[in-house]
Amino acid sequence: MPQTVKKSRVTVTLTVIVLSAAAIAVETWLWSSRKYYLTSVIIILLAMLPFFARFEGRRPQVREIVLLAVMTAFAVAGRVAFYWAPQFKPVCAIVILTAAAFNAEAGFITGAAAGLISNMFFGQGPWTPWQMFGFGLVGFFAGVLFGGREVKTVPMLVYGFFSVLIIYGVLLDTGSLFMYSQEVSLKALLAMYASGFTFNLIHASGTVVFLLLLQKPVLSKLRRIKIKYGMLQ
Amino acid sequence: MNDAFSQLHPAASFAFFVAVITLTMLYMHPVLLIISLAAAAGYVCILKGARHFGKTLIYLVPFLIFMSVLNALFNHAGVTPLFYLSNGNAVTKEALTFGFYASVMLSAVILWFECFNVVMTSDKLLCLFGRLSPSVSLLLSMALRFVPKFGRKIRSIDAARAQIGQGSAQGGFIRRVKNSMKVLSVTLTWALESSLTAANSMKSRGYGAARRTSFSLYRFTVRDAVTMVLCAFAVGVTAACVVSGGIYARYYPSVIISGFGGIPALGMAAFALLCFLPQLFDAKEALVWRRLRSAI
Repeated sequence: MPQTVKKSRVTVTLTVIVLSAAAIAVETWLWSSRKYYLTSVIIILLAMLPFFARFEGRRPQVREIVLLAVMTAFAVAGRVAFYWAPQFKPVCAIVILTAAAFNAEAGFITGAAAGLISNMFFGQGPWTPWQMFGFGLVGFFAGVLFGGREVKTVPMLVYGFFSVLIIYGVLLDTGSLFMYSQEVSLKALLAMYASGFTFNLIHASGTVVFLLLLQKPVLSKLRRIKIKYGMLQ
Repeated sequence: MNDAFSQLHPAASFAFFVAVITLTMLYMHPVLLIISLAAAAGYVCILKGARHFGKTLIYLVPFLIFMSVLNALFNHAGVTPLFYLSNGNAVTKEALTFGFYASVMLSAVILWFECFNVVMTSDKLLCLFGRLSPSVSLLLSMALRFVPKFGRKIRSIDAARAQIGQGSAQGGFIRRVKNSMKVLSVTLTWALESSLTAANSMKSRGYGAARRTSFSLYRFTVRDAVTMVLCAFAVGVTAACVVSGGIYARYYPSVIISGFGGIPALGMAAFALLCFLPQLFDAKEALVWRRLRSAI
């Protein structure tokens, strides 16, 4: 990795940490009552910034952009197609497969973009940044674990199940608590996780089902495209 | 829908929504919340019609009541117990009051987002953020366009396969799942191939060789600047009045709500100006139209 890229990455990361700390400081000292939701959304937006900045900064090839757009659209179309089944959605499965075929960055971008675009069909709301970050992180860690390597089915299914249950579920439930309640305590958080558990369980199992169904065709197609066009290596 | 405000430049509309939603969430003062809720409700009526708003009320009102009751049942802070639950916890006046205003705040935010979804169409959002980040916005606009395109392709492939008895609605359950997966698989192959062909074509026509221009229907004019200045002014005055302590609301341990006199009234007026900006804008446009028409 060139020195300049490394340096700018450190700078961006440091900036995000400093700004997040500033947001928390402002929250604690300036406002009399705590504004959990606003502060958390500011931090989430800041946390997503480096991923997008890095993608933009390395001037991606048109092919990469178009390919990620296709995978994003597929995830969104999947969410639209299963609108009638609460929480039973293929978005996370498609994001995980994209990340596994390429890398962590592709996973994050696809996930976050799918969160944003699908809400253009379902309606934007205070939950949009949380969904973007949730899908993005599920994709990011999938890329870290499986990106570019020979994929084994069982670890991927296990990852799909637990990443949705823990990363996405906990993140979104925390977001809901910040949205709907101004009183945040450990007890309230635990109550929220408990009430959301069934939904997260459906979502996680759904992801496993979709991973099982989609894994083989999607991965082989992406691998073929990768070889044929020599990209995202 | 005949709303002049939604025809402003995306930057002006976006600034308005950011200002109004942030202030609504920031200050839990009853008067400010009710102003915001009323303005949001009015604007939803303008954008989507009173009938749609009536439908929204059907789920919003029970939600409002549910949230205030929930807060009273689970939150026992506050010094004025109304009655005691069977487990010995008190239901307090403070928790009930806070729960009520928190749900008013949330309803106002939900209604503002309904307006946001009508006014800030996807092309406006892309126009706004496209310049900031050309690659990401290209990705987003392509994905947005692919969704209906894939939908059509899926239907046509499915129709073709149905002719050989392999449609997604033919056979038993397992058969149907298999057929559906096949349709999706065919569509994905086609989508990847055709989009990469498109990418090659874009490249050979010089994509990335120079700064990309993008077409948008919006021009930033004086009225957009005026709107943004008005927003900034209203936010400034409201914030100044809150910071100076004139507009103050506290719910725990006891409810203290102040906001009488000259300075708080000024702050509330500024906030009302901000929230009712779309309506004021529409009224001004209607007035101009009437005057022009009577001059003919």
